[in-house]
Amino acid sequence: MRRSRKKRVPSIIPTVSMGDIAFLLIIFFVLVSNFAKDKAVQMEPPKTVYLSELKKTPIMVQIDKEGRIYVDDKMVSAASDVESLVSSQVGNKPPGEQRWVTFKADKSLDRSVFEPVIEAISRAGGTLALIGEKKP
Amino acid sequence: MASFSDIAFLLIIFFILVTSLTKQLGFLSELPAGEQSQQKSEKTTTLNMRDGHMTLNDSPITMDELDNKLTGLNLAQAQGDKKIVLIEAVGQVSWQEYFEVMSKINAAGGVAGVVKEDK
Repeated sequence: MRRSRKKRVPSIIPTVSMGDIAFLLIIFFVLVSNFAKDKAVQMEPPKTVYLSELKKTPIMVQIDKEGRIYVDDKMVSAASDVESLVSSQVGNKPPGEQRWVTFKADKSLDRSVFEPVIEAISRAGGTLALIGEKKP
Repeated sequence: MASFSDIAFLLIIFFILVTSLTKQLGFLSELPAGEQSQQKSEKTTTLNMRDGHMTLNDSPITMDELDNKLTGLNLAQAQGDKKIVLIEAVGQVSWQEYFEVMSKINAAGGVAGVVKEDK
């Protein structure tokens, strides 16, 4: 009579779920880093009824509630810096979407802060894509 | 092999979420080319904003009345300089007011211009 041999259980580490875990981690870090980028500039955008969806633009200018100006998340000291940076990015582009410049500012800012910046963007040849929130 | 479908669904969910997150609401405004700080002329529609008060062509107006007044100007059908509504801001004017006015001008089919303050 043959003795039935015990089947040896192969000692393999199950790695089927590693791909799932890896992608979950990737998605987690991508989403978290997007949120962190948006919160880097503290502001409350203005509200209006007349808004529509806008595409992302090649360049973004933001002014936070303290009046600090940021071009693509880098702080600049004056509106003249905004003009040179915007001009270098969109100045030689054909008219249209490639000249759009996203502008976001805190709703409480005085015109002495934002007016020079929007004028600088226009002098540089950019088309203002003004961002706000929908009024309820 | 069973995890391939999991990975595929996760990627689909990821791209759906990322696409919806990047939505931005706003409007386009191109300040008149060549003369971003416009010179007022007698015929150009001018909106004056000063310390919370507004006048449209020297007539007092509120933010709520502005929609109807701008619609009445038929800016969408106007050509050239007649489409321009000059915004003359004096004193303390917040971005909220400025933004709202620009959005209303844009919605009425006009083009917002900025009057340069004489120094």
